Amino acid sequence: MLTDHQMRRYSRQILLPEVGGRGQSSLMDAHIILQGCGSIGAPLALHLAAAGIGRLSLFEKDHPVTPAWQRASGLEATSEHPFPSRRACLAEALGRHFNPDLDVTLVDSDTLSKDGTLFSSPSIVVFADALPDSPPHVLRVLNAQKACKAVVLATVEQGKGVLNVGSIPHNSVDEEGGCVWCALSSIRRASHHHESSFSVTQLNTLSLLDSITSGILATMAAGEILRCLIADASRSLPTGHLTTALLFDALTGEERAVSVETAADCLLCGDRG
Amino acid sequence: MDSEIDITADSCPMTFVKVKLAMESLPAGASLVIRLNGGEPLKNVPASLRDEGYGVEPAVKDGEAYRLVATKPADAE
Repeated sequence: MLTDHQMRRYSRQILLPEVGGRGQSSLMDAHIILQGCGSIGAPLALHLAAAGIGRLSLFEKDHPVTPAWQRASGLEATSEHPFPSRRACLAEALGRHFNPDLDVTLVDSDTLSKDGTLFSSPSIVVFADALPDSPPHVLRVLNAQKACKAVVLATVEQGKGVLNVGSIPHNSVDEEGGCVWCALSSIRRASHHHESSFSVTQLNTLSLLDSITSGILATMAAGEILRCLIADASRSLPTGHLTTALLFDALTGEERAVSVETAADCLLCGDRG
Repeated sequence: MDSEIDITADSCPMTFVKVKLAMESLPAGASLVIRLNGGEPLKNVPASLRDEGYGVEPAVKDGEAYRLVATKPADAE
């Protein structure tokens, strides 16, 4: 049951036929695990909080608040509020300015890999950080627990933004297109085959473009996550698991969807998984 | 007995937000009696209800305000 304050805060999205009271309740019941509070994770968290997500677990080691991070997130750690880390700065802003009802938990990123009990009730897990070549341990844990509705991978690779929304193997047995890690492999192959003069080194130098790419990715990821959460409560949106996989290049403005194929040798769902 | 809601103290967009949430909570085929002001609410609330597929009877004057009866379709989920 929404309070008067919540009705006012979320009135414009409740009015949307695809959202309504049921969709808003789905958002408020959701628990998002977010790995990474950097230039993608921070603005993504702000969008999710503002939309009314109920619970957000932020996993990251302590990183200092830097000017580049402040530019990407739009947040400030002033001398009056010298936050010990960017995740602490982010958590304070989420509760104070974006969603006073939000339940925010700060957890060291090592815990995400070790403590399976933390994953008892996540709606969606988001990796907004550099991705390793092999699937993070947490994906195997989630798969074994058959928890989690979708997995979101948002990162910058080969100088391009990568967004991948998909399912983990236990959710995708009967579906075409493979699991979220198959999708990432497809994206990486497509990225390597795609000619571009926009190298990683250039991206790091052009930090403003880095911020722009990250911000665009964060916004797109937030839209996909909200759509995924609302879909089950709405008859106006497609249900089932999303299969978004795309590359985005801020320098050229090019956005390219990547077709996802099941990989027999996938490290998560394939023979070696 | 039909459910009732009074939105005469509210202004846009809260007028229709409250009506919409009340309609969603009704069982299929049930009706909601809405007490609303003339002017913008009287113009927009019935139109928005129709847009969302609800049945709406003509509003009737009720003192300084109006009474409107909206019905959820019998086949609504």
